[in-house]
Order: sequence, then C-alpha cells, then structure tokens
Amino acid sequence: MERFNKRILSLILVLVVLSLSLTSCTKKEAVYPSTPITYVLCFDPGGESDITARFQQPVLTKLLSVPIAISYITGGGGGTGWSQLTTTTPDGYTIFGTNLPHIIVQPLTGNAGYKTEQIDNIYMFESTPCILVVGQNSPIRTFDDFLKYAKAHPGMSVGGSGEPSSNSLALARLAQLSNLKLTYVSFTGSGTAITALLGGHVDALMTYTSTFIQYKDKWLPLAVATEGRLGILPDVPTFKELGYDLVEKAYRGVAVPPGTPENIRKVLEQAFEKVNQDPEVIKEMENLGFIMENYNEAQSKALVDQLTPYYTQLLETTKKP
Amino acid sequence: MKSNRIVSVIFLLISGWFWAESIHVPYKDALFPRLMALLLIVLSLILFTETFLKQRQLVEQKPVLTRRNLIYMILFISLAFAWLYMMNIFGFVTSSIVFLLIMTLILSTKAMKFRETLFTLILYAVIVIGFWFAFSKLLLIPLPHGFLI
Amino acid sequence: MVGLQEIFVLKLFLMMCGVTLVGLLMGAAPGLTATMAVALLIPITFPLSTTYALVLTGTIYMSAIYGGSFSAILLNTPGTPSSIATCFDGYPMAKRGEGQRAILIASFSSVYGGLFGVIFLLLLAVPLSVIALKFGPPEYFWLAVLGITVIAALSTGNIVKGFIGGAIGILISTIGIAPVGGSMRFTMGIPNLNAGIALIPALIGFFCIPAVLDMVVQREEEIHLLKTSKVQARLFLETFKEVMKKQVDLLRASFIGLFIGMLPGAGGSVANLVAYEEAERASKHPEKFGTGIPEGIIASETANNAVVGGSLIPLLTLGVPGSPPAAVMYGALLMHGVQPGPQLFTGNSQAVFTFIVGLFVATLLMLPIGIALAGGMTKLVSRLSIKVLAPFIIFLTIIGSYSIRNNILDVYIMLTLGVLGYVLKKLGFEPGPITLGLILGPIAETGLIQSLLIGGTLPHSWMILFKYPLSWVLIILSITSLFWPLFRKIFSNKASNSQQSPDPEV
Repeated sequence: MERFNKRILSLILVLVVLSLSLTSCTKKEAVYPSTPITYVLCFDPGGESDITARFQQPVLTKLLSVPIAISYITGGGGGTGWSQLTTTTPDGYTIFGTNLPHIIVQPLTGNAGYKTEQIDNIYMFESTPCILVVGQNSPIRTFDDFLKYAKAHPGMSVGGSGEPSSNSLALARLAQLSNLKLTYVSFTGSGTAITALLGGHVDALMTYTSTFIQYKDKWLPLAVATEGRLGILPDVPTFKELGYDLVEKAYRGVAVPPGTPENIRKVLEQAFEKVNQDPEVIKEMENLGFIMENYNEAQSKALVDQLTPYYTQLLETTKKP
Repeated sequence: MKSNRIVSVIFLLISGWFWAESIHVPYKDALFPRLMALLLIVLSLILFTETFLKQRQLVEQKPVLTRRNLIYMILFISLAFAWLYMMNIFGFVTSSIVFLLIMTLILSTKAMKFRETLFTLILYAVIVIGFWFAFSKLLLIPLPHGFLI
Repeated sequence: MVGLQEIFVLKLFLMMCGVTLVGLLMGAAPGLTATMAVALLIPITFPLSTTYALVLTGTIYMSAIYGGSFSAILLNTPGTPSSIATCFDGYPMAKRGEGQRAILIASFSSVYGGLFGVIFLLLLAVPLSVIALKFGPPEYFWLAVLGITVIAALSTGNIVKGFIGGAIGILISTIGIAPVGGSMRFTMGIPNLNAGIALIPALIGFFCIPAVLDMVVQREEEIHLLKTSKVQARLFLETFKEVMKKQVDLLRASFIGLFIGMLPGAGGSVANLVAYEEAERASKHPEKFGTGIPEGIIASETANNAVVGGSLIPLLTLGVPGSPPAAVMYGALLMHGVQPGPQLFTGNSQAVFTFIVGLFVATLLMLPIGIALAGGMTKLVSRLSIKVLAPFIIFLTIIGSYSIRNNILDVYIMLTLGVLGYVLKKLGFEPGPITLGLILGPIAETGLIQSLLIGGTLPHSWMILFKYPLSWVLIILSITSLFWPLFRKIFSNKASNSQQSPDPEV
C-alpha cells in the first residue's frame, strides 16, 4: 500500500507542475484588451438586456479586436450578478450590464449584496421610458378617463414588470401625485404582464415603450413618462403636459468592478461610445422602441447621483406599513 | 416507526422557523410562506399521530446500511466537497483530475495495478482538459477558477 | 412553396444533424439544460440567414428535450427537468437489462409528442393562443394546486410523507426574493441566497446524488447495468409496434404537453410530471408504475416534447414565450428582425412557415441520430465500472450546477441538498414531490398574490379565486386528482367484494 501511495503522490506532483506550466502560458499581456472579454448579463437570455448586448456584440468585437463572450448570472432581479461584480477582478476582462433604477433601488430596499457606489458605470447607452396603456376594448380611452375610472374603482389593478422596478416606481409616483389608490401587480418579466393585459386580467399596464411598440395594434397608450413627446410616439401625451411631474425611464448601461485602472475604463468608454453611434445598432434598437442615450462615465455617475435622492424619497413616502 | 416521530418534530420546528422569520417581511410576501408553514405543521402533526395509531402493514424491510458502506458514503461525499473547495484554490482542471482519480481509487474493490491507475489518470486528464477546452475556449462558459487552471 | 425548398438544402441538413447531436448531448448531460443549449446557439447562428438560424435553434430545443431521457434511463438522473418522470420507469427498466428498449420507447414517444406539438403549432396556433390568454393569475394558482395534487398519485409510499415533501419543496422555493413583492425572505443574512435556491442545482442534488451514493454502496458490483440484449433490428420493430399500440396514452400525454407548454410560466418540467400522474390514474394497473413499464416513459417523454411545439404557440402568436427555452428563442427572433407577436403571422408568415416545417423535419431527424447515440451511450455506460462512473457523474454535476449562474455556492447547495435528499429518501420522503414543490411553489405563490391584489376591488379579495368558470374547472380537477387514490381504493374494494366465486377460466 505504501509504495502505491508514493506513486500517487508523485503523480499528483507531476500534475501540479504540469498545470503550473500551463497557466503560465495564459498570462495576460500589457496591452488591453488582449484576451476575450466576458460581458455578463444579470437577466435571463431573451430579455431587453440580452437583446441589447447581442446587437452590440459584433460591433464591440470589431472595435476591441477580441471576442466578446456573453454570459449570464441571473437571480435576485439582477442583484446576484451585481453583487458578484463587486468581487470580480478589476482587470477589465469582465464587464457587467447594469440597469437603472435597479442598482439604486435594490440596496435601498434591503441587503442586496452590493452598494450603489460600488458599481462603476462606464456608459449608459439606452433607455426605455414607462408608458401607461390599456387594452383596445377598455372603457378607458384617455388619461382623463383613467383618472375617473381610478376614482370610481379604488384599488384598480395596474400590472407591470418586477418590483421594485421602473414600472412600480412610476405607478407609485403617479398614485402619489394624483392621490389615487392604484394597486400595482408585479409580473415576472414582461411576458406574463403582456398576457395579463391581453387577457383582460388587469385593468391597465405600466410598461416600457419597447414592449408597447410590439402591441400597438392591441393596446391604447394613455401617457408616457418622458420630458417631451417621443418621436416614435408623437400622438402620446406626456404625463408632464397632463399636469403630472412623472418622468421615469429604465436605463441600461455597462459597468466594471471598483478599482479598475483608468486606462482600461477609458478604452471601454470610448468603445461603447462608438458602438452607440453605429448606424446599424441605432436602427435595430430604435426599431424595437429603445431610446438611445449617451452618458459617458462621468455623466453616468452624475445621473446616478441625481436620481438617488429622488428614489430614496419616493420609497420613503410610499412605504407600506 | 420511531424515525417518523423524530422527523415530524423536526419538520414542526422547520415550519416554526419559517413562520417566525416571515415577521420580517411585509404582509403580501409573508402570506404564502405562512400558509405553507401552516400546511407543513398540519401534515407533520398527522404524521406524528400516525405513529401512535395501530401498526399498518409493515413496509418491507429496506436493506440495512452497513457501517462499512456508511463510511464509504461519508468519505465519498466529503471528497466531493473537498473537490469543490480545491477548485477555487487549484483550479478546475487540476482539482478535477486529482479528485476523479482519488475517488476511483477509493471505490475500487481490488487495489488497482499501476498500469490501470496510470491509464485511468491519462484518461481523466484527457477528458477533463477536453471539457475545459470545450467550455472555456469554445463555448466561452466560465468554469470555477483558482490560481492554476 | 419557397420555404420548403430552403429546408431541403444539403448544407442546412448537415447543420441540423450536427446541431441535433449537440442538443442530444447537452440534454443528456445532467446539469446542462435545453435553455442553455438554445442560448449557446444564438451567437453561432447570428451570422446565418434568418431561416437557418430559426430552424437550427428549434432543432436544438427539440433534441435537447429528447436527450434528457438518456441519462434519466441509464443513470437515474434527469438530463433536464423535463425528464424527471422518465427516471421513475426508465431506470428500473435499464437495471433489468432493458436499457435499449427503454431508450427506444423514449425515442418514439419523443418524436410522437414533438410532431404532435408542431402540427398543432402549424394548424391551430391562433385559436389556441386565445385559450392561453384566458389563463389569468387565479387560473395559474389553481393550475399549480392541480400540479401539487399530482403528489397524491406520485407517492408510492406514504401519501402524507409525499405532501410533506411537497410542502418542504414549496418552502424552500420561497427563500430569496419574493416573486410578487420583491422583498428578501429567509436568507439568514447570506447575500448569495438572495437569488434563492436555483432549480437545476436542487434537481441535480435531489436526483443525481442519491443515485450516485447508491452506486457507492454497490461498488462491489463491477458491471453497472446488466448486459443489454443484442438483437437490434427486431427490437426496434417490436418496440415501435408496442409504443404505437398505445395511442390513447400517447395522445393523452401529447395534449397535456401541448397545453402546459402553451401556458407561459409552466414548461416541460411541469408537463412530464403531470402527464405521468395522469397516465397512472388512467391505467388499469397503476401499482405497476415505477417498476419499469413502458407507459411511464411514454407519458413523460411524449409530454415533454409536445411542450416544444406548445411553448412556441404563445411565442409566435402573442410574443410571449411558453417556456424558458422559448424565451431564449424570443431573443433570437428579435435579433433577426422577426417580431414575434400578433403581427407575425400576417407579416412574416413565410419565415414562420419555413421554421415550423424545419421543426417538423428536425423532430423526425432526431430519431435516427438519437437512437444511434443512445445505443453507443448504453454500451459505454454498461461497460464502465462504478469506480469510474460515480466520480464522473459527480464531475458532470459540478459543471452543470456551476454553469447555471456561475456561482460556486450553487454547487455547494447541490451537494448539500444531495446529501439531504439521500437521507430523506431513506426516511421515506421521495425526491419527486420535493422537486415538484420547488417548481410549482413560485407559480402558486405568484398566482395567489397577484389574484389577491387584483381582487382588491371585490368585497373580499379571496373571492377572485372562485370567480371565473375556468378556475372552477381547475378546482374540480384538483379535487378529483387529490382524492383519486381514495376513490380507486373504494372502487376496487367494491369490485372484489362483488366477486363471489373464483374465476373458472384460471
């Protein structure tokens, strides 16, 4: 038996030496980037983040001259991925898709496993504003009708995707401003929310423009939560012009772990800036109802700083007992 | 069976834990877990009382676990956990090859000859490296990493 | 038609063969799922034409679901959650040396179910989607309840223990973020648990690990499976005839798979278990289920492949995927400029038609490839000794659990639940009900809480659960399903009491 064990030990030693030599072959060079970059998405494949990333992928690959591998770390409404972001090696070879307001709101509502400040957003490249819609067969035809209906039926159901999310916060704000009792019904992902409205199981939907575009023949838009009317939806009034100060968009961007060197961040920032100017990418995104945004690293941080107090206050004032 | 009695008590405790923990969450998120905890309590009580009622037809005696087998199982599972731990230190490929081999050696009833061991080692090395290549290079799916590969 | 011509191009055909093979392998590997297989193909098919990309994606979806049966039969570990019930009768068959036969049964069933689903997709997609829309939160809740009553039939031993297992599964599924409210529950302060207990690692843990531990106990036996019978061609024809004779079983399972696939939010994982239970209920000899009878495999494998076609119905007609792999296909479609949804059949009907035809061909294609592969696998597995097989399965489970969320904690969870599952099994708590609870828990909770929220405008919000006729259909089905074992016992007692004299034909 002993001779046997010695043999095993020597074998293991050989292995260790082998693998050590193998790893030394994969040491990274000085010029960034030189090996494939992993683009981590924190939501399930097939969703808005996935589609956006897939459009960006070929252009990014060309710009950075390395393959961009999309991988998924799902769960916790994105939180699992983002908490892993904070412990990922800041060498620029793993970048994470981020979403606003999620990364602001999640740490505020509990132990999300990360803090908003730890997410270093390199670029915010698109957004989908919230839009209030009803089915074609609904008795509600305008936003005014909606307000009247809500008064007559306190606790009317308005569906949306996720909670807390852009949809839920938009509705909370609306309820706050209009002093109406609106019941938010959260659906996992946009899919089941869509069937809920199509099937008439909820009275209305607070959803994203990208979702609405696909169903514009079946749904009636009442108001959109932007600063001014949207080019793709010129006939839809904004909440603001109807007298309600509600601007709510879900932004999507990309971030790196805290402590990533400046030169790497700059390379990524410029790459995404160029991606966002690619006419092919722009066309594909706008076709699907996404709004192109261009917030570089500094501007992204400013955006987060600007939105944080708003959401903090909103959550405070609408907290249920 | 005595074991049923102990188990039902354990489940009662577990449901109690869930019930208690749901105090921390708002009503609409506490409702369902509480309902389920309640269901578990009821079911556990049924199971508990069943053990006192008249003996039903005895279920065929399941083969008894010998002490020797138990030790092998515990050893095997501990190796699996150790394998995981090692993966984060030594890397996927190294740990896998090593632990696959160790497990095989442990499970062999007759001590393996050197030739067979070597052959198995090479086989494992090929398979593991093949998987590593396919996953991390071709499919670009990350595998656990340590400071070796 | 132009579309058809595109299918019968050699290049595409060869690619479909390759993709089928990959799909089968990924489906067969415990831990790698059909969803992953489809996601994998997306970047690879991106540069191809829309038709090719869609057909190939559909191909891998269909074959991965079929592939799950291989490991279920040979290793008692479901290759995908859609093949859980295949273990129940597939593995006992393999242990008896009838592995080849079991795989053939699974193959024919998968193809049958697959074709069924695709045909309905082709012909009745739009009317069926209308039915799918009628399902709102209350209906989903009752559907989950119906699924849970399946436990009553699944429990071969103590029914109370079965339901306790189900309750445990449901409670475990509540760990993490609440599906409707979003608050964090039962995480004991461990941030990694925020995402909850993932289904696949739990599945692998509960099914694979106890099977491996049993192998450890049996390590003295050098041959894992008895030598499988040799006669190939005759077995093929015999089994084919045998399966085809059971048209009722095939159709029943197909309808169940189609239907459950059609509902967004419930997929193959639910379908195979419900189909299995329904087959058991309808059978004249229910006690034989679980001992290794063809009906068990037929139910499970037919249903899970019918889900493929079914899940594409809401995807193509409403733009809402009916299952996780279909959700990935949604992304693929969008990337190729095909907008799934109400406009699809009017605007892009050519691409859709070609896609469906391609799916049809793919389903037929997977039969020869699958049987050849499975034949090889069976020979390989039966020749491997436990000392090699057991560690290798652990290897696969580690890869599988890790690749779900790139989270090493998932693998630890998988092992821990595995040990737990083994202990529970020895105490009489089968893994089937527990996994069913894990799968259905979120569906039930989401349905319930959403219903109560919507019902807030009613005098008593719980009333909404009993408001709609469709809900009542499901309620009645649930009650019947729950008390079926009881009815059965009463009936059989009456039958044996009325028999006065022994049967003279004996």
